Amino acid sequence: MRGPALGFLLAISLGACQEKLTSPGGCPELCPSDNLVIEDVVLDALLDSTFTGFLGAGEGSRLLLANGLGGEELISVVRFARRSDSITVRDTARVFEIDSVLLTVNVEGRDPAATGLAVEVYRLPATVAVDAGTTYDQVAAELLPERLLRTVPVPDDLTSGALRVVFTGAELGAIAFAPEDDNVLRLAYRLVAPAPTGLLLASSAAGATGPGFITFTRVALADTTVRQPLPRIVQFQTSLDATPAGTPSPDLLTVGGAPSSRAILRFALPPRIRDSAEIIRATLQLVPVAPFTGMPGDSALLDTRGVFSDLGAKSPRISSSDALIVKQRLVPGSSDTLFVEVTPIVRLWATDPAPPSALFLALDPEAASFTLAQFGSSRTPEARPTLRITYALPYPFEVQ
Amino acid sequence: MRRVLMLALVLAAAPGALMAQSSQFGIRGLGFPGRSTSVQGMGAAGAFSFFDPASSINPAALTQSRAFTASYTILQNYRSSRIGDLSESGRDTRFPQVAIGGPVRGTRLAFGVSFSGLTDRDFELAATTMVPIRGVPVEVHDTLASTGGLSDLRLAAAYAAGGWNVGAGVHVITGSNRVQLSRVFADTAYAPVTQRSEISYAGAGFSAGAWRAFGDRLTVGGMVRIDGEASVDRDSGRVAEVPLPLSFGGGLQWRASPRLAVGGQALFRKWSRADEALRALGGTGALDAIDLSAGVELTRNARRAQHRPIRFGARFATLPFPVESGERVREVGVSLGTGLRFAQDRAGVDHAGVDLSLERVWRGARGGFRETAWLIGIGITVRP
Repeated sequence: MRGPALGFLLAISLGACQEKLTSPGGCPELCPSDNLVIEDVVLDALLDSTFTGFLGAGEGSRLLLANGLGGEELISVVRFARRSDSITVRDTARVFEIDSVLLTVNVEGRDPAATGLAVEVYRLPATVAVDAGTTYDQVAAELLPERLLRTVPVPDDLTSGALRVVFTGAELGAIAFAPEDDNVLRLAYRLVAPAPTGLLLASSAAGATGPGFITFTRVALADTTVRQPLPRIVQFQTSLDATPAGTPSPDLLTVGGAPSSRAILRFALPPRIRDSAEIIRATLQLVPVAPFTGMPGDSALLDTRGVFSDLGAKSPRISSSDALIVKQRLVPGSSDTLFVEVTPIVRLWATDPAPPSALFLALDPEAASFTLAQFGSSRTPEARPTLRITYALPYPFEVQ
Repeated sequence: MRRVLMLALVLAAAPGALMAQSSQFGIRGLGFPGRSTSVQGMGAAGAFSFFDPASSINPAALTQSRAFTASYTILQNYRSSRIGDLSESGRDTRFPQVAIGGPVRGTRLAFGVSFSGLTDRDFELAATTMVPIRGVPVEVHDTLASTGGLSDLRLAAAYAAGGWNVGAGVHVITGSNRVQLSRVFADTAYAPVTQRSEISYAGAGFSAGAWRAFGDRLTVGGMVRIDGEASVDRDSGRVAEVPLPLSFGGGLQWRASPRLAVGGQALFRKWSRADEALRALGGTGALDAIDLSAGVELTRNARRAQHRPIRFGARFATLPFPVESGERVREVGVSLGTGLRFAQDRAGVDHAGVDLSLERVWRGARGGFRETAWLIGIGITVRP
């Protein structure tokens, strides 16, 4: 008898290892839904403003070319580092002969519908410094036929990739340095196309895909010839606008442009939500005051983040997790109201310690896109930004 | 004495909460009521509980104990719950009754400590429904889970004199629920909701009882219990004072022959005292509850009655906390049980025993609420 009894005990003990308590919750009698109260509130933005000057033209990851896109004329200029007169071979500085020169740029974006594009590569004289003081007019005046190094066609099916110009033999004369150049190459890129459009080129901020200038050298030694490339890095680059945008309107929230603009929006979270509610959805509503400018195919995103502390333009943005960075595509030409789901960010406002209840808007990529967005602010009643928060109140667990 | 202390420690360290079985009818009010009965008693549907020293119903029953005894109850519950067309099966294991007690040598006194499940609030509800949010119906999946309940610690003493056996007990009522609500939205734009809370309870009560044998065949007993109010705290704040019931009842045992005993009991609990307080909390209130049972114990050997007996019985009860206000929940059960005794010494005293019970219950209430369950009980008895 002892054996069966112990077996029965063991079976029961094994069965006891798992529990399954679930019962069907029939509505409305045993339905939790009836007691969980969900409400929502629409908050108006307070003390919202635009700050400009975070990234200047050319400091972003792309250089911009445009021939009338949105009424804008944009050319880009690049100054490369000085090329030395000699290279070191076998521990000895030696004078080299130039075998060939390679100039490159990388296309990063274009209007896929635009055809017949080409990039004109001009060599700028030493009289154009190519620095922060260089203006569009200064450069445009030097874009003369005799300074045109090459017109590089952009294949119609090329959406991204390199454009190369190689100079060899007699062509090298066009790229040879005069004494006043001090061995510094200054280039300007201009877009030509049968219809107004734009082109995005990788800048040196994008890494190895930025504008390139490589001299392939040849050094004759007693018993051999050494061939060695001599690349030069970009020392300065920028995109120049024939009609630069002025200071953004203080009554609007502006995002994008170059120098780039960002906007901050502050909200007063009601104590009822901050103290005891659980935020389940937060939607930022932004009303554009004009269609978004930009180029089809230029994928710019509205980057929305919270801030660690509210220091105005210098507020450090919360970037500790991808979940806390909300990005939403801006479609050029669209003027539809933008609804941005910012739930993960706003949920932080009800934590302890809570960051400021503010949202910082920027464009991604910054200073590297044709896109510019202008939204109404708290000072434009017909296009006021709002934050709609949906929240659950504490469940009355004691009520059954 | 060292063995006694060791046993007490082992029993105290046993895992799990001390609670009765889980049920969908334990969601309302203070939960599903426990029975404070040993497995030996459950085998006969509780018909002999008024005279069972391992049960916590009648404190006077402690005088039935011939030696210091510790008993421990394990209850395995397999159930199927149904609401209308929705059904779900579940299982769980509980430890609803621990009792330690026995006579004081050389006196007519007996003492006992027991720990019983007063109510059980272990449940998990799952529901899918549509909720309007931002003016649009959104499908939501809710899970409401609770673990815990109210426990009853009884310190009791009993005395036998002149054929009467009387007893009294002091009850300390304590317990807590850890409750959690989870909601997931079909529209993933909404973040899931998870809320947790702890509801704790505290109260006290007093019970008194008596039993007497009339001749060799008839034994009659009765008890009354008065409980005060249970303080209900949510997290750290007081939310309510809920009156606990006044209980009274009686039982009898008829020994038709040395090997055959027939018994029955009736127990009334005035839970309606809690009605107003529970309704004030937004609940469905409480109703008075009765528990009626009848059973038989057939022994193989009258000198060793607890070894391989056959017990069976039937039971009818109403539950105090309605799913829908005013709609009484009814429970019917039939049970079967037996037991084994081991480690008999030269004096014929068994130092260990195992009791087994199998009970089938049917529960129901208007509104399409139905539940059936198999309850398997294992009772372990040790006499150090």
